[in-house]
Amino acid sequence: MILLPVVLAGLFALSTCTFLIARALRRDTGYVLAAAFAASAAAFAIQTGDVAGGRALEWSASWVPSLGLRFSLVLDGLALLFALIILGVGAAVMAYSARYFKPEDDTGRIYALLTAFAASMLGLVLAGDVILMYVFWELTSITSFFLIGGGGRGAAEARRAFLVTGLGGLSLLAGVLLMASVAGSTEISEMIAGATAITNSAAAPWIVVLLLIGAFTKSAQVPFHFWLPGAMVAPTPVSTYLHAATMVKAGLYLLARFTPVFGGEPLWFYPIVFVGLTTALTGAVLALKQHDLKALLAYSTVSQLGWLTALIGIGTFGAITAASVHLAAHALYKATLFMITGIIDREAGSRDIRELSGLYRAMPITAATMGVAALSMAGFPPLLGFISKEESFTAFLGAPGAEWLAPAVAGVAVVAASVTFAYGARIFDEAFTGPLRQPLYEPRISFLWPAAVTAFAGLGFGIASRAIDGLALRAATEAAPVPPEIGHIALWHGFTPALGMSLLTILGGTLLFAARAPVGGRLARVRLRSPGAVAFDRIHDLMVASGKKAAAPFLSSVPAVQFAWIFAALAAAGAGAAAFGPALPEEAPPPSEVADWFVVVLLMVVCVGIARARARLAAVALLGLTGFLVTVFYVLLGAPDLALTQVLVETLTVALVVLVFRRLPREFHPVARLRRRFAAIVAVAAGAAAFAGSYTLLGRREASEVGEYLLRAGPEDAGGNNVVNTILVDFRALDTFGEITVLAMAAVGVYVLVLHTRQTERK
Amino acid sequence: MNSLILRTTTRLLTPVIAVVAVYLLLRGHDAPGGGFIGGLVAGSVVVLRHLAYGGARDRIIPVTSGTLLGAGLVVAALVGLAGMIAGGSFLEGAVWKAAVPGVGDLKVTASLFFDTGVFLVVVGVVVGLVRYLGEERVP
Repeated sequence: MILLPVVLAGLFALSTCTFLIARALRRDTGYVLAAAFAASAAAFAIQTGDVAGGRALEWSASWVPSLGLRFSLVLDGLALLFALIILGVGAAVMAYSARYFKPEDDTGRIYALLTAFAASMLGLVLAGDVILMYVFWELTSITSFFLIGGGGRGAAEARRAFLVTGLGGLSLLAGVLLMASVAGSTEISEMIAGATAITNSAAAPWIVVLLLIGAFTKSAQVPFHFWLPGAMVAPTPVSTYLHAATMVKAGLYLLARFTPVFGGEPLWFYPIVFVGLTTALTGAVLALKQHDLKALLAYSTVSQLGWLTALIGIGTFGAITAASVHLAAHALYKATLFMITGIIDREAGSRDIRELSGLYRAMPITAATMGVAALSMAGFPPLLGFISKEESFTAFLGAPGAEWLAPAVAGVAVVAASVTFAYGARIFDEAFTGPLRQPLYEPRISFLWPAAVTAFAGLGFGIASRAIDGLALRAATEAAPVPPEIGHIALWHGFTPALGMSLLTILGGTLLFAARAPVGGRLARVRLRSPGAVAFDRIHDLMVASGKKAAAPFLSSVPAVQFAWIFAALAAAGAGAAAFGPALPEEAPPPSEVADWFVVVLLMVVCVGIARARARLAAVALLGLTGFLVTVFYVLLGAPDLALTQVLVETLTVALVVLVFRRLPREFHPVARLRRRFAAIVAVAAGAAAFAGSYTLLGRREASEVGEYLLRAGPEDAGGNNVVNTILVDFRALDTFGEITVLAMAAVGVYVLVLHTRQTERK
Repeated sequence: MNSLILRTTTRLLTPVIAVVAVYLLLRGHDAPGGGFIGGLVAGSVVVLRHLAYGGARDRIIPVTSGTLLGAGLVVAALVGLAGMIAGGSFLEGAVWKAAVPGVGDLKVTASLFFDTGVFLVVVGVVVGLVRYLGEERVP
């Protein structure tokens, strides 16, 4: 189905064009992007009937044929659910951004990154191949890094978030590669088909651990959760979109995606449920502690991600259904709350929840929108948050595994939900009661409507829950064995145990809310430093410190000191190889001719000249001469390409060095005798090692097999007779591509160094 | 080195060296030359003119080094992507041959375009170094 690559490629293309659009439309670019997102979302939504009926959309193309990789995209129930959240919430966030940013803000960069992120995230959930999924996974981490740290502040937080999620990404890569080697394919569908082979293999525990690290870091599970609250330094649209609605759910997607493979395995089931519930509880308690609305919402997100993780870990049909509904509910209410936080921040200049008192008097629509979302978060009927919470309770009660597990899980869930209810009620209460403490005005409707749309979507889907019923059940069908009778999700199921748990939650939450003063005082005194964050900071600082120590000799501003280490190492390596290296082959060293030795003697004379030169320019000129003399060897050996390159590089180097040296004194500084001796010893030793290496090692074998192949295949396969060139631009073109990139980066590096030096000089 | 002889020679040599550079680029697939060597030769024009005219006023190449570097990388990447779309893998090569009446057999390879990207990057590096190191103020 061509729709999938068209939307995906279209979003990436849109991202690259965004700079140009933003030049003309500035912040209003958000509306263009919102329209594109909404259109894409609609195009996907039309497929719901087909997909819910079990007819997944597929598309694939050849990608890396030599590795058997295909660029395959699959839109099944789970993917469609995520895609709709990504595109739908994305449209709202883009429309919101169009008024969140100031007219004079330079928004091109942030819009381009947001769109690139959306495309990557969409690619992640559509990928039908694990390697492809990994590529998109890392792209979301990278775009997230730039979006967190891009504003000039938040570099440390961005680095932290990137290192944690990036580490998880590498772990994911190792996991999927192991899994692919067991399953014999990188296609996810083939892996699911070969599930028993994977779970029975000796590598299974490793695969599970690696995948879990990937999922837990991305979805901010304890003990890796600490990066998420830090990421809140990003602008609110970024926090809303990446760190509440979509990116942090990539880990959940991964777990759900591989539930058909590992679901029901104790090694999969217990850690996920345990970590998930621990996170749900920790996040909720920490959220209760916060006064900064954004921080509160961040910890609340951690908590809700834990809740979802636990549900997916339980992995029954009901649990996956509940998780699907809760994913949608959470995306809607959390996006609303974040957007409203941004509005209040912009209008009132503060995000302290205690200063929101009486908000509804000045900003009735804002307060109402916020109230609806807060109630959905608290799990109040008839909002979608209530339905998903009740579905979750049912799923927790039906948890498989040991007998004690289901009641324990359900008990913890009620506690976590009660705390969630308490802070949800707290937001609601602050907004709707008390006197107005500051002059506030309702924002323009253009700023407000995206948040209102997501908030009331939560209400609409709550009342008309049948609208997402089909998709949620389809996602569950893909992940778990289907029970004999399938219920529908609904507001009212009769007097069920889950209803009892809901009532218990509301009761507990209300009590906790009523006792907020003493509880808050208690909590404020508890200083919780996350052990994960402590460990991360220690390792990070240790690595930076040891890196500095290792680099210390090379940070000297005296080139001689830097080179001394390098040449001494070369000499030591030569001595080591001579003493302990393997014996040389019996064959005689390559024959040499008189002309060769003539050049060698000349080279030595020139080198002595360089060492004795007083004037800088003389030394440079002689140094260039050594290069030309080496060229003679290339000519003698019949390598015109090398000779030509060498001559040109030597010429240009001398010319460029002269440009630098004309700023320096004409002659070298006098150097102490002792240092000269030391330098001479190091230089002679390094030179001897290099000579001995070249003389004894080179030319001892016939043309290698690879060499023969390249000579033979060059004219046939690459259509060129110059083997040096066919290697560079055909056989090893990717290497050359890398090299020219490095070359370009080096030029940029010189530019930055020169710029920096001149700026310091000016000061 | 602000001599009249050097300047006159430079003025005469500039087009010659430029043609040689392009010639080396074009023939590189079959004979000594190629994008790297051609780029260095083209870069030597810039260095020579810098030495002859003293740099700051010379704009024989009317774009910044950044433009050249970026253009080179983009060209190389586009060749790679084109190979991916047409041939199935990144940087997949292709050879086109045609007999042009009056000229003879003409051969063009996809790698020639890739080599052009290399050429542009190398020129960009040399231009950049000359301008950054050679001028009093960074452009």
